[in-house]
Amino acid sequence: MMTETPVIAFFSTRPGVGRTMALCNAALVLAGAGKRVLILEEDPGAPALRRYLSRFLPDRRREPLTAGPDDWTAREVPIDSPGHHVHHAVLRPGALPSDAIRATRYDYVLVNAGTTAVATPVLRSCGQAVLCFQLSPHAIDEAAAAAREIEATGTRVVPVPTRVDLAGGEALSTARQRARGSFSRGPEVEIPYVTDYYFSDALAAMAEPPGGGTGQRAAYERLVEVLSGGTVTTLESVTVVHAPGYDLWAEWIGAQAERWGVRVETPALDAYLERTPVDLRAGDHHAAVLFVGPSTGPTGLEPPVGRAVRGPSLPGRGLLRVWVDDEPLESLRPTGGEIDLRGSDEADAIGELQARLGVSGSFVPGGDGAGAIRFPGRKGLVRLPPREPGFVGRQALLSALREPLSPRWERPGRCLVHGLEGRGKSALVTEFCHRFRGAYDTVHWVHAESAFTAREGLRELAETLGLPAREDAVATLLDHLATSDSGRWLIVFDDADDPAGLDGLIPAGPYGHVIVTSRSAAWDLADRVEVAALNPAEAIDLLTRADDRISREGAGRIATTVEHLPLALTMAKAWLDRELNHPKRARRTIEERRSATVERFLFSFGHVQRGLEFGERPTGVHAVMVEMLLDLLPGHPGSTGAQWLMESLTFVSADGVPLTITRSSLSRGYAAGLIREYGDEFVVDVLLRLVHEHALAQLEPGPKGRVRVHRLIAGLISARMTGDARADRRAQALQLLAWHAPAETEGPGAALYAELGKHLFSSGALDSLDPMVQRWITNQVRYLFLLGERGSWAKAVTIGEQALANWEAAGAAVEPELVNGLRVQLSIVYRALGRLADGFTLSQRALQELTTTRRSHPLRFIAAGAHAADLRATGDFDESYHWDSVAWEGMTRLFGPDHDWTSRSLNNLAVSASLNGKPHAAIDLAMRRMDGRLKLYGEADLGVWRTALTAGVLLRDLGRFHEAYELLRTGLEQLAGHNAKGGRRSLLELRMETSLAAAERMLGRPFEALARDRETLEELRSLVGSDSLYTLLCRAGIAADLHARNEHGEAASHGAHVAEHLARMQETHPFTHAARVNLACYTRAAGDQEGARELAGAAHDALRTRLGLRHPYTLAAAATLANQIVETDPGQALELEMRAHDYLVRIFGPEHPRVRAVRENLHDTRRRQVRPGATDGRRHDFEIEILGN
Amino acid sequence: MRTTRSPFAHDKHDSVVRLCEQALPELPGIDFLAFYDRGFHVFSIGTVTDDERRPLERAFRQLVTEVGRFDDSMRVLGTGELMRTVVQTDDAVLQCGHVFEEEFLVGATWDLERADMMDADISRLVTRIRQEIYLQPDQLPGGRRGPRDTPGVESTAFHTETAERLEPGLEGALATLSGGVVDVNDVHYLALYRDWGFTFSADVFGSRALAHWFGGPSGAEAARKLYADLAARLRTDLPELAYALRLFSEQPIRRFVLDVVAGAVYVYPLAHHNGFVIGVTVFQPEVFAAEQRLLGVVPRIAELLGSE
Repeated sequence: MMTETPVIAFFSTRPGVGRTMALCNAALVLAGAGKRVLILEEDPGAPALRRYLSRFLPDRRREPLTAGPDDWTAREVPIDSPGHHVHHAVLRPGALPSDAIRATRYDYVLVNAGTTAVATPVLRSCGQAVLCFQLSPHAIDEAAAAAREIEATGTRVVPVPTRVDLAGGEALSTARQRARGSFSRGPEVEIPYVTDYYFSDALAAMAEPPGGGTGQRAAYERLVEVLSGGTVTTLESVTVVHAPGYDLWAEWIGAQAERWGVRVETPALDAYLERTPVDLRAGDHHAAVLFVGPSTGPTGLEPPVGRAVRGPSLPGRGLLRVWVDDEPLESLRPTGGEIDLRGSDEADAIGELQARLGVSGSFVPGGDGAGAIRFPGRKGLVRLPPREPGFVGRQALLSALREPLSPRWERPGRCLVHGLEGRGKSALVTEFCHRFRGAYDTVHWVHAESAFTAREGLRELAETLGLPAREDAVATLLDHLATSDSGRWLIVFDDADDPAGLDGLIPAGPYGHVIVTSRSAAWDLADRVEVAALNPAEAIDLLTRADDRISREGAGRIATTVEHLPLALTMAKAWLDRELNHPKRARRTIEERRSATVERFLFSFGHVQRGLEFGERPTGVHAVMVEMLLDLLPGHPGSTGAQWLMESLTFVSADGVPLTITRSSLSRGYAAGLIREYGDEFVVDVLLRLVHEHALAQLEPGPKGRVRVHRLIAGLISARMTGDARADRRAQALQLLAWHAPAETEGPGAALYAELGKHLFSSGALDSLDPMVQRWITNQVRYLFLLGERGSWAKAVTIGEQALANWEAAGAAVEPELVNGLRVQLSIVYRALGRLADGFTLSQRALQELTTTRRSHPLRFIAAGAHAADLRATGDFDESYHWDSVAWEGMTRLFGPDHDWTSRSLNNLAVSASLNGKPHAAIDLAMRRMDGRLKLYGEADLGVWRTALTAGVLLRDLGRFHEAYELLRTGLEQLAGHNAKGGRRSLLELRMETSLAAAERMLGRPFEALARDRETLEELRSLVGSDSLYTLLCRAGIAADLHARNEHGEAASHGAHVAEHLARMQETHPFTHAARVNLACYTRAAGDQEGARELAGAAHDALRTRLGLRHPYTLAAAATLANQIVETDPGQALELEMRAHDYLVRIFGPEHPRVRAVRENLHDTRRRQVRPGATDGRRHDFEIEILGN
Repeated sequence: MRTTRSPFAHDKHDSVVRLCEQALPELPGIDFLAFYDRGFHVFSIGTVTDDERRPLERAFRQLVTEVGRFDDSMRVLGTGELMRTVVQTDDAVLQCGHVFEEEFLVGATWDLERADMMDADISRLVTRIRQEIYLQPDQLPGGRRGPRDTPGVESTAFHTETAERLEPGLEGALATLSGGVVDVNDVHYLALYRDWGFTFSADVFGSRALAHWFGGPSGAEAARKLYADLAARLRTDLPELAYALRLFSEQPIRRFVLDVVAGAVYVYPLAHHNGFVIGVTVFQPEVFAAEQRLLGVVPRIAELLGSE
């Protein structure tokens, strides 16, 4: 009986000959080739088959592996190859159920028919039967007899000698001869004896690589080839031929094929065609040639028409086209010769390749480890300029670049691309990035013409990657890129001429590649590629691409004239296009026109060059081309405007300017007002198109489109302007840019400042005395400050200082509110950077000048607030309270109580009031702000919870621990709602956690507090670093928690760390002394009484001098000092405690916990005086909780 | 005396500076004087060295901020804005006079014998600046000195309140003592706070002569509550004030006067009793006279409470 599915029985006349092993290996080779295989077991009690198959289960469990006779698909056994498996079931006694087999969709059914010498019903109902036997004379005879009987029923018998000792010499030869003569078809395959396989459960099909040609697996592959009638063959080699731009796919497919154990090569199409005879290009039965390239059109590997080519007809062999482009699936119709990887993830793509090529890759481990090639189809994070439309050739350079940036990650991966201006360095690297973008999880382009733009580019990447907002985004990014978490990355620093500018900015680590493009060769990078002019053929290709109106000979003359320089060639191409399309040229034949146009170009070039020479101007090919293209402009609508536009664009960044600015309503209106000849606002669009078509600028359309002018062209345009024209154009460009500066410096509305910042230096904005530009500069500084990271602050300082120096220069008439507005913003940045003295000086000067010139100007009160913050930072709490009061009162008068500035100043005032020893006033102010914000903005407002954080400390200060706890808990719940995505928690949340832990500690729950603080400390370290004030305050909390838990040694260790680091920040700051007071408590408890006494005494004296007798910090220090000296000098201790109690009771009232504690200590001291030794020595300690704002 | 102009001084302050410089030789009570505009120090005049002057200017700037807070508290009493604040410690006395809008003049002396003179001199100077530079009327800060020029009025509604569990005899003694002080002519309210809690009060808020201030069905009762609230806040306000002035004097506050448009509130801390005596008048001309009477009774109250 025959079914459509080949059914092959494996049987033997004797047990123990390796029948089951043969069946399993054959099944695995078939499954590895992508075939669906069902194994049927005639004897449900036989153990061997289950033993072999159980090795594929995850834990090699011995559970039943066999499905029942009525449900063959129930037991799926995965094999170690992605997506491949076999099914295993029990066979019902009797003949094979042919209908049931037909109903399934298996490619092969293998039946383990057991030991028999007669034609059983099962054997009779199989198409083929593999008869396993050993090469002994008796066994051969027995097998041959059985074969004859079975073949008589119509079943083809395939005799397979097993356990063949290949070293058998003469005896083996005799046995083989006997076997060949005994069967109707002599054995075509024999299974060699390999000891390992008979003493373990290992299977050759899994343990040996495919296509090896020797070994036991090769025998099974041959057996499968015989059983399948040659339709399942062994793949021995894979050649991945790739068209330009598909290098990466070729690399990846080649890497996969290597894992299958076959021979692999990945030639470029040109190289393959050159070296391979036509007849051999399409592979054979054992060789696959995969073409990776455009999904449509000829591959170039097809045989010439009419020529018969020897080629395989087997699936998975010969020439196969691999579809990888993201083209719509429906646009391509498969013809059977394609492997479709479009839209697949990596596992699917590997499975598809293996299935189509009939291979299995399970035997080579470590394919996903370090050095593995990234799947190109996986989407990465890519920020690149668009490809150069006219890019041609450069294959050698691209390969040279790929070599150090190895797909195997074997080299340092830091490469310099250098060459003179206009040689096409950026275009080359852009092309490289686009071609190999699939090799990276992140590809990022950084404009590195200055250290600022480079840092800004890296900061943008940090933001895009969503890295936690630590103080220095760039440092955070560099740390991240040095870890495997970053995946594979490529970062290009384009146009970086000064190595010092990238000092400390080039990422390190083995996980990424870096390319630097530069005119300079003086870089200390591991590898370098020099970019020179194009070769003549490439230059001609560039001039003639998709255009037969210019002959190659004419193109060659032009290319030689422009010295084969890519930029000049692009400009020449634009000139030729304009000329050939000129409607006023006389009608001629194509040949005449070709010739005339070339001649006109050469004549014009010479003419212009001589003119430049005569005018003593630069005469290089680029200068000539710029003049030639400008000469073409007259006659076009808006041509004078085009020149204006080009001149204006010389003042923007080399990165260009976004179309959202050039085509904004503001820019349109401005241009329409200047350029009357065109008459309406669409003139901008006309001009952009015009300069683009003349190759003077590059217009990139789309929502993120930009217009760019090559730096070389911009320099030439700038050089040809007169001084007056340059000043005019610069003023106009600045005005336009300044108009676009948004009113908001924070939030989504402020995003445009990131763009405007790119043009600050190129436009000369920092030298401008135009008030509008000056407002832009001041807001730019504020925007950079609000970004909240150190790199941006440093940039803000450079910008601010440079602008301020210009504005303050003798003779510069600048409005006082403008110059002082900048001073205020700059002082804020100084403070953020820890330059407290600079900040103080600047804010004070602003305050003074604003006070004398603009008595009621809002800026005066903003300056007062900034100055107050400077004073807070330096520990001058009374002064900061004063200026915060001035700020808040002034803003309330000018803006009203609900204005955002007023509200913010109220929060600061609450903080200052607390620090200035006014706990009651402080909490009133904080609550007023909270209530106000709640009323106006509701609970979703972050400002509410920022103040709640302050209020939490203030409530604890007043002994209202429960209220503080509840408020902070509510705040954390609200903030958790903000952060529902499960991302990292914000600094505000973490500070609230620290504050909540303090409330828990004070409520007598130090265990919970310690757990919370420890968890928070880790998050703070990760978010803001170990040296941040907030991290230190959390650590101070841990010290207090430990002290409360009587773990004094560890408490002292943490307390010492905090005091030491605060001292490093500011030795004389009250916070530093407060930390020492706390440390004194821990030190004494840890047993060092002398050390504690010294610490407490010094801290008390310092606080007494700095904050006065009545300040709560001084009073806590006095009470702490009393504890240290009560045994040695009870009289002084009593005096200190009496004073502390007297003042504390006035501030906090008699029932405040701290007042009670001092009172109890006071009683203890008195008892000691009356009856020394009458007390148990237990006294209260006093923690100073540092507010930290 | 030497004038020091602050970097915050504005051209418009020139006239004030000149006026003060001209007037000071005739105002011998003042040792040191400083002027503030919207919280910004403008100028100082005095004989102190620069090292002594800077902490004083800083302390007075703090005082001006505190005066702003007290002004907010006083306005709810319905007796007008705070125009004169006097703080006396064991070793110094100062007066902060409100000039106009947000300008303040602060004068001080370290000779307690000349405390009154300094106070009166600052009030005169403030009035001159108001009248001559800002064309504003005299608000009579510090009240009228000399004999009363209107006939006395008989008190008709003497009202006392006492805390629960007062020591036997104390209530009667306090009532008797206050009965001799509190009347409708000058001292309208007197209260004693001990251990930061209310002890005793006496007032004539219910008198017909004060109906303009405390008339209406709940007027007197509401006024008592407002003054009680003010007194309750003093427990924390006084130490904060003392802290603000620490660079001027670290000694405890002994006298504190909040002189508003209509009358004044007087506070005399009782150092050993964690409390104070508070007195009120709502007649501006009688501000000086009322204090004289209070100054006479405060030591006697302290005596009643025990050693002071």
